[in-house]
Amino acid sequence: MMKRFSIQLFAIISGVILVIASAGAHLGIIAPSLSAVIAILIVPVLLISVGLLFAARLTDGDIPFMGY
Amino acid sequence: MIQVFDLNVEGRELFSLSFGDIVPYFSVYTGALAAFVIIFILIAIFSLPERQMNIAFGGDAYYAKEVNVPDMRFSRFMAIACGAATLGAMVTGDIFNFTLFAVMVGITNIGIVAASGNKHVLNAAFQYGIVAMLATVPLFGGAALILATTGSLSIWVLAGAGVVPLLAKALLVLGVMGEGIAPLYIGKAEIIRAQGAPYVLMIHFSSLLLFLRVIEIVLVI
Amino acid sequence: MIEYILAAIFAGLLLHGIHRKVIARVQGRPGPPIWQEILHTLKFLAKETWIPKTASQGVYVGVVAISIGLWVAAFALLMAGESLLLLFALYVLHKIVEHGIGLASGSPYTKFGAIRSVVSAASELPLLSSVALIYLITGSLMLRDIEAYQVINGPLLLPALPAAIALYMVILSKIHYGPFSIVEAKELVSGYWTEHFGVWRGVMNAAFGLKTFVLLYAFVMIFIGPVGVPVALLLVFLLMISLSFVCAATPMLAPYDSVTVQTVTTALVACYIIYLGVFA
Repeated sequence: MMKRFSIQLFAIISGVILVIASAGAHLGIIAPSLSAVIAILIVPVLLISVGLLFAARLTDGDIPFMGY
Repeated sequence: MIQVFDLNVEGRELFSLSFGDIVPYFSVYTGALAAFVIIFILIAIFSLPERQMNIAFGGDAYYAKEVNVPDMRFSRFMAIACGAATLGAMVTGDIFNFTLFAVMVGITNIGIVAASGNKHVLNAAFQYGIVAMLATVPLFGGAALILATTGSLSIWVLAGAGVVPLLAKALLVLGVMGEGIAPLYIGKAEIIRAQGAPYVLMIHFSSLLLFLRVIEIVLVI
Repeated sequence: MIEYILAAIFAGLLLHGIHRKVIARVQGRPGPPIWQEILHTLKFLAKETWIPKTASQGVYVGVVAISIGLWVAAFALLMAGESLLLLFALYVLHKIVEHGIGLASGSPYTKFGAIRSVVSAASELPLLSSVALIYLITGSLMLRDIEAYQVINGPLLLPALPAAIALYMVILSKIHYGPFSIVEAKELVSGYWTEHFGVWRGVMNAAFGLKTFVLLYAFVMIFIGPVGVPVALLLVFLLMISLSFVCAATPMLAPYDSVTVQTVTTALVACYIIYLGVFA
């Protein structure tokens, strides 16, 4: 299961990749189109993992399946 | 001679592969669509189907429908085939291949629906079959008109020449709309009695993407 | 890139908050504070999150990720001045997101929302007709060419007025509490996103904030031209307020009425395009 540690890892890695991608695009090291593609792919990972991290204190990072 | 990418319609060229006059190509536009198709094929492969909640008529009771595994396998196969056909339609650079892929999308769409054992769903599948068969007439008719008037079916060759008659374009769009069954399918809620996600989702998905690609083709040729 | 994306998400959520405030004031209510939608999103992010047992797990989670990816792509496209046709494609693919969110969970309410989303596929057609009209006038679909055209020939708002009206209708049909928002009508609880809660709802809120910002900004870019970021933001704000007035003053239409109005708009713009093509 997704434990808190792995969510933290996802959030930090995706955040770092995004910052590097946009900084690289500003400095002219990475092509803007490549930076945009990276952003499109990684932003969902960042937002979802940051969200799960916010919510993690309730379930210790698990995403349980619950229902009827 | 005007090339596809001089037309300012779909962004710059990412890739092209020359097979004589038939050139499969990726622009920013078709590349983005193809990437999206691949994501959905992966979802169709790896995602388990939903279990539908049903409400017992005349009361507050509700229950989850059971998933019939062999039917589910058939639906999944058809959904993946549908995704593959859609991917082909996104990638191809030839109008005849495009029409073939569109027809294949139509066939697999019926297959997805027909896997269900429900009487209403099978009835809907039968009607879609009739619509898809009827739609092949304008679809292939449009392609045949293009070949007859211009002598070529390659998007790459026809791009920007402005020689394709408006009627052929209109027939092509009509055919795709029939194959994708999107505009005809909206009145038929019966389809949703079948397993929804991710299989019935694939029907809607493929028809929208076919529509997007045919708009690109019609604007370019 | 990421800093612009986050700023755009916050701007979009703020616009949603302003939208709610203006609707409330028009209707004589005090309304929530304008940062309510931002707080809402943060609140949802901190809520307990799970996946319903009846849901198709891959679709349930994947579609949320796709929705945010889709609008990040649309935003990147605006920034790069890429093809308007691609923006149209992303807008149409948003329909898949609505449909997928609705179908994923197995709940009958969301399924109704998804069906309504398919029924209102007519709401995409006005955008297509406005794209066609712009192509006819400017001869290019690249946003940077459209901007360059407007620098020389002045804003497209007047020569392409039917296209502007059509795009306005498109934005109106995607805005919350609008006359066309049948996919999230309250008789379906919350429509297609009833079963998405917690983090999923928070991320979707962020995606929809981004969507609102992108659509409004695209309207300013296409019909007013390059005016600089501060003026463009002001215009986006004014556009949002005008939309809020429309939403406050109109009831939600019945599903078939909604489709009829959208189809008639498309037909009118199509007539104008044919008129332009034949007589002008």
